[in-house]
Amino acid sequence: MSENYKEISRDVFDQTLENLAFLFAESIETEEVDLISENCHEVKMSFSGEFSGNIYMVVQDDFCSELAANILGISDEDEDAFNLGIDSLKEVLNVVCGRILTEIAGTKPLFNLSVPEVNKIDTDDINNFLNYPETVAFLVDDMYPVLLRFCKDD
Amino acid sequence: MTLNILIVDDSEIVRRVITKTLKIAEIPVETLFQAENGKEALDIIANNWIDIVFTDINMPIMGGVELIEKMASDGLMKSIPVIVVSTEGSEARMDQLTKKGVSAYLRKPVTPESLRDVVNDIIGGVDDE
Repeated sequence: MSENYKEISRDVFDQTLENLAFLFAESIETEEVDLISENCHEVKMSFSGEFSGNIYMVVQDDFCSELAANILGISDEDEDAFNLGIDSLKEVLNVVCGRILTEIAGTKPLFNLSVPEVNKIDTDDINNFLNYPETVAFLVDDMYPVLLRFCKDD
Repeated sequence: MTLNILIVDDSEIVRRVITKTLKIAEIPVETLFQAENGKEALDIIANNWIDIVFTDINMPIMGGVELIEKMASDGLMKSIPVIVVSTEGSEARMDQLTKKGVSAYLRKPVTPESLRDVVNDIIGGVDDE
């Protein structure tokens, strides 16, 4: 089942990023991920309903500005680009979470989604994240590594 | 026909994205109002002519469902079309909102085509202008 969720996560993230930000995500192995650990943030949100759990995304800071630039049409050198990028990350995860839940549970059940939270993370956090069996990895536009982890509670 | 549109969402990003999508969809906008929650939205609606409200569901202070209920119970506000924009894909949620008087439901990410179709259905032929 975990592999099935990973496949759904890959498809939904790829489609969402393309539709929302005109960015293209290539699925890669977690061993290929090269994140600069001192410049990374994690976005997290939880869901509850027919089943509950959490979804997490880890990105490098430079991806935030690129995301804001693509979603909003601003320059990635705009002084607000990073902060707008953080908000954009939350929105991407919000859409990804809603779409994954529909793919898994269909359109009948009602889920409550929490407000996404963003936190800075360190090397240990990233190494742990890479070792979780649910983690999927992407390279966005050939240069931005992104990690995604969908966890359904038992 | 130009429209006075109110976008209600606690995320500045979402408000900006809907604004951009309205432009790409070539929806003729007279004035664009923005609110971060249902309470702010009610203040704007009470003091301005609004043709369409786009609203999120999950917002702090006052969420979209309470906003829709308050509009439905007001003699003047209940005639304003409300379009819900949300990540949720639940049929139960859509049924609940339709019963409360919501005109349409758009699932994120919103495309210019879907937004234009919904506005055309509600207002009728904005592309005839």
